[in-house]
Amino acid sequence: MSFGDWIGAFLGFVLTLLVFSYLIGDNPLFRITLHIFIGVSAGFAAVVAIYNVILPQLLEPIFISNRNEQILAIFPLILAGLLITKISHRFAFIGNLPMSYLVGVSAAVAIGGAVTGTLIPQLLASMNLLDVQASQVFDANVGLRLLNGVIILIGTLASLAYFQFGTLSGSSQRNQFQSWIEGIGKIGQIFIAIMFGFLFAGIFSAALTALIGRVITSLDFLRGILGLFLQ
Amino acid sequence: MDQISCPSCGKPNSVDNKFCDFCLSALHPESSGEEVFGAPIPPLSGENREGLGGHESDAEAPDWLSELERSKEAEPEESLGTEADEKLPADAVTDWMSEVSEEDEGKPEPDSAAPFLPDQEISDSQEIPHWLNDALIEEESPGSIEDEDLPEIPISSDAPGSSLEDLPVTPFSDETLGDLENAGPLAGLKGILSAEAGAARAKTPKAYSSSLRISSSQRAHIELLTGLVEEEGQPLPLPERKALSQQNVMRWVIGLVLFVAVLWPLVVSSEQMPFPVYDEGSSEVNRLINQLPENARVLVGFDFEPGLAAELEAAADPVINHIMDQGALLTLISTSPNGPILAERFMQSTQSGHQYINGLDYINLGYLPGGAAGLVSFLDNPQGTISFSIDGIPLWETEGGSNVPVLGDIDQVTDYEMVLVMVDDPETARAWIEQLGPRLSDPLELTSLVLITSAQLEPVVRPYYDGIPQMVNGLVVGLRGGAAYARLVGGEDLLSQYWDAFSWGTFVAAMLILVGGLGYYVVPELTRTAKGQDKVEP
Repeated sequence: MSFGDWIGAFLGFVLTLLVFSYLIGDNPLFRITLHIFIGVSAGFAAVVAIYNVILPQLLEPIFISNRNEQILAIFPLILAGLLITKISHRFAFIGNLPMSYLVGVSAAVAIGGAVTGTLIPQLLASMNLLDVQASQVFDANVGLRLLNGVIILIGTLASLAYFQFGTLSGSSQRNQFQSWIEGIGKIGQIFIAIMFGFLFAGIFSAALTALIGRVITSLDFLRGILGLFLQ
Repeated sequence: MDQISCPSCGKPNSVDNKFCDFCLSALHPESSGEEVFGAPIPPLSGENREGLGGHESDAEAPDWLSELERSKEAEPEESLGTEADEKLPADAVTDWMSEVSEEDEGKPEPDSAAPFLPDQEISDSQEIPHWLNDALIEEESPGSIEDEDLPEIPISSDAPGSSLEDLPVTPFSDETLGDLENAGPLAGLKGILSAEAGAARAKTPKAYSSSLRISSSQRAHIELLTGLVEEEGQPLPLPERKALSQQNVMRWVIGLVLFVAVLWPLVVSSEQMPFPVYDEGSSEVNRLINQLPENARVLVGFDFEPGLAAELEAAADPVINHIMDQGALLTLISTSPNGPILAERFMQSTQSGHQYINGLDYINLGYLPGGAAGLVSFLDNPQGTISFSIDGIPLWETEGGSNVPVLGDIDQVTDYEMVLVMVDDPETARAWIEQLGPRLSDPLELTSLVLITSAQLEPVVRPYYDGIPQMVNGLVVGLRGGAAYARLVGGEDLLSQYWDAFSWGTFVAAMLILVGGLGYYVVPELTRTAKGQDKVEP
């Protein structure tokens, strides 16, 4: 390990201990670590934006590239300049033009992607769950796949029924349909509880792996220090 | 109409008027007040009698007034109050008053608290004065009576209050009329408001105290209100935190137990826990990588944050290792600002054994700005989206292709044999799947999409892998997916360290949840049962 690696490992070890100090409650050491992390992240993002985006993709085409690229690069430069006016209350309206362009493009991309990439494929997947012929193509165990499809279908409908909220119409007594919906909603509640358990397990697994990673790094540092003293 | 001039002001008045309409002076000085109003005028002093045209002598006063004056002179102190009323002469009491008084003496006094209801009828035994009887008869007449239809009721001198005799009389005196005016046009008159008295007299304004005169109870209320307002502006002191609260103790115990469970396998390097036998998603990824041709081009997205780097690096280590073993050329890219540096770190730390050369075997394109929009631009037109690598190497200087061997003739994303994304954020994962999935849905496209995700992301990405049509072709989830992949291809060095600690940590956490849940539900129940038995036994 080089000297820089040792410095980095030492800082990592100390900051890890400071984060672990949250175990005894919120304290200044933990908060200092948070502030350092936020500051370093913001600084690094700014450096990346300057050296990876602004200089190579905006300024260099204007000063180095041919005329066509220069003309193409002027438009984002103008829009970026207009966006800076957002910091002034007086001239903020000028920045609405690039802002509307950004919002419009982002919304179009997001909605288009959600429809073609999630909504339609997931609807087809839900419908294909009970398609026996398709199941035979993808899975030899057709019965198990159909059972899986039935469970998913029940879970989907029951979860939707749980989120069915409405008011009593006309007569104050709930009718038979509403009683059915509430009954199915109880089943949906079970599926939702299982889903929350699944989410918790995933988050705990990720956090536990992160803890193991930090412990391994700290142990490696301590073993390296001990190795230096023992040599 | 005949008119007469006022002797006092000279203005014309009707002959019928007794007094002037303008100055109220008597138009006929010889007429007395009794003739005008039918009521006696209070006796005045000699000067006022002359000025107001009053009685010339006591001989013209009525008898009852003379008697009253004499009685006043005899008993001046008893001129007020009910006793004086009782001693009024019999002539001064009208007939109806005497009737009422006689009836009241013979009857019990009615309950004054009992209300008189509108529907309540007056019994025959109750005699009503004739003037009130007339009013009741008018009220009982059917139909509404307009004001203009009402007959003009003459004021009877018999009715109480209808004559000036019944009005309260304030006798004038020298004191009430004030001083005699000595100068000016009003000389000789009394009761004149002085025009110069207040203005001419220079007085020092009276000194008033500025202090508020309040009672002790008002002062107490003011102090209470002031205290309440002042308390609103003062921050409340935080409640004192107990150093050894139950919550803190539980937190320390759980943290210590988990820490020991994680630390112990790492210290002793036991490696007792076997890797998972089979994972469908990992097996599918293994199959796809095995099918890669030689020098296949693989786009690798590093879209995770440093906080979850340990999990994703451990899960991706065997997969990337396998891809490199296949001799694939890697293009690294990230839609997160932290991604490029994490990609470099990953390549240098975990894959240093492959001796891949930057620019020749792999290229790091760096940060791709613009989020989903930038991703769409890159997927459709990589050459127009990113011009330089993270090291500043120009990427597309050659006409119709790249001068970098890794990129070759890449024109769009479908020119890659595989797209592998390491991701920990649901939105980023969905952006990759939603934007890239439809482009790979064509059966003729041979590009496959593989995701290596954090365990917390599995509920989001699993439906894309399990569904038909399949939007994600291979899925490695968390440490478990990586361990399953490592079991398939070998290379268990890094994961073996993690897997033991992970297994023990998960087991201990499950036991803590189980024990905690049992304690939460069972202990109160047992306590309640024990209390119930204690109550029954005595």
